[in-house]
Amino acid sequence: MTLRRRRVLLVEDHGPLAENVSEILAGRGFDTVVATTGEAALQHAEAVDIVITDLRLPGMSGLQLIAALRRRGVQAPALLVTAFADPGLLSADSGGHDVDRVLQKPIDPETLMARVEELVSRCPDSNR
Amino acid sequence: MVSAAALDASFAGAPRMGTRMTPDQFASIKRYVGFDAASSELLRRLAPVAEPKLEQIVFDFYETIRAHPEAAAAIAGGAAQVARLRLSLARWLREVLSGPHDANYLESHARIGRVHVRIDLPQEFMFTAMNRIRAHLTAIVEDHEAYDPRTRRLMKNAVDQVLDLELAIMLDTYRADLVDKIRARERLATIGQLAATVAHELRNPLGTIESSLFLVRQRLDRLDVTDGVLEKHYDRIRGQVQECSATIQSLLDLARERPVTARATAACDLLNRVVGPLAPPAGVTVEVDAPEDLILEVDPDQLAKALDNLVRNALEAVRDRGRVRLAASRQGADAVLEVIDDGPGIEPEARRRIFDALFTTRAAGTGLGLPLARRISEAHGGTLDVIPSERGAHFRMVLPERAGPVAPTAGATEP
Repeated sequence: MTLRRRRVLLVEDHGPLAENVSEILAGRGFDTVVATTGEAALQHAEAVDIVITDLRLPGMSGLQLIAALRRRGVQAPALLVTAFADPGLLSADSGGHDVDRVLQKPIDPETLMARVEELVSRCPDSNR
Repeated sequence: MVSAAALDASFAGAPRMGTRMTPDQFASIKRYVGFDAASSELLRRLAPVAEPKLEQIVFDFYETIRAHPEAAAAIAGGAAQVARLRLSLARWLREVLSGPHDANYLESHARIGRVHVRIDLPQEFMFTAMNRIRAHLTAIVEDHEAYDPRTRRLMKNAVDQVLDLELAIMLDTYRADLVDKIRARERLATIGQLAATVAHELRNPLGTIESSLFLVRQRLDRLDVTDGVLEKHYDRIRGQVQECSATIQSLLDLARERPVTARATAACDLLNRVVGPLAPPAGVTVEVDAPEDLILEVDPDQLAKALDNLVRNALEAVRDRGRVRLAASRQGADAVLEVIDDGPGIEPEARRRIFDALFTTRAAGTGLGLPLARRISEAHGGTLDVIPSERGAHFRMVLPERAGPVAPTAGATEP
């Protein structure tokens, strides 16, 4: 059995940042599908191991996207990234939402990778 | 919430929004109510006749307020505050009668309107309170047997005129101060929103720089490159990016108006928490002076932020040599927090504008620290002012009773 590369759906409308995050993820053995809007992300939600999405996106928000994914039965863990330091939102971290983790921008790459590894290992076959 | 624009519109006839009545305008109102030198003279004659009864008038005045829950709510300081207010009312009454009713009179009596804004006294109580005083003074004139009917009529007329003047001054100041207060709040909110937008927009480019640095680091390690110049610039970029992130964080803090989560907080703990992380130069002493039993009912995080802004300003003012003092004390029912330095002080012109958002006298200041500190103080029902001082700068935050020491009975509500 060959080891499958894990797949990340990254929803981020700031192009250079999306490219950098993809590159960092690639270095850790992830394939990344980048979408710049929530609507586009819904087209690529099949067979992903984790969803990383910005909160503020053109069109539907990151939170709306995650809710839509859950309605479609996508159970992959979701990491919400936000530039807004809203303590209410950050406390969503503890559950109660469809979001599994909230990270504040600017993202520290090591922290991001630690969260991604943690979430992926928690749900090894979430969506396959 | 009334907007400043709506308030402006409702005072369409008054062109001086946010500015105080000038001596010329005072003279014009005097002419309007018919107050002249003869009125002043009549009141001066009434002064010694009224003097023995002033104490009773003042007593009755505050008993009436105390009996009225809504008006009494404005006097949160309890017996100590009422005692102070009684003294000021007696002084005010003496000045109303003795005059001289000149520009200084206008200035000193305008302050009373300002106090009413500060304590949020409902405006309608100014009218009823003034009527109460009017009834008392009229009764004194009527009961004084030495006056002939004509003098009595003229004197009652003068009392009416001077109290109308008082109302005009009070309402004018009340309006001007309220407009200022609302404008300052709206200005801060607008700036906060702008700051949040800018901060948000900068976070993505900063995140990109930071993640690029991460990838550069990985690449350098993989290629086994060690180069002192590269390392130096790598660290420099990283340090500067972190500095930018910290600035953005403080902008976002300003933009977010957080509700006050008050809890019992020892004043000395609060002040020490502010002073703890500071690293003043060797020639600067930072002193904390707070009684150990002074407990404040405040949001410690927000108040620490406000005090931190004040202390950092003070440290910047004294530079390499000087003294910064943080003091907490109880004055009557109020808790008073002060930050005092012996730096160059604040120019009078700057003193007037120092709490305006974006106003700064420093090359590197954002002009957001003091308005934020004042907003935090006001969110606690308190005030923050700069006190004129001979030397250095003196900031004084007054927090009313509910932010003051928790009485043992009130302490029973604590878990």
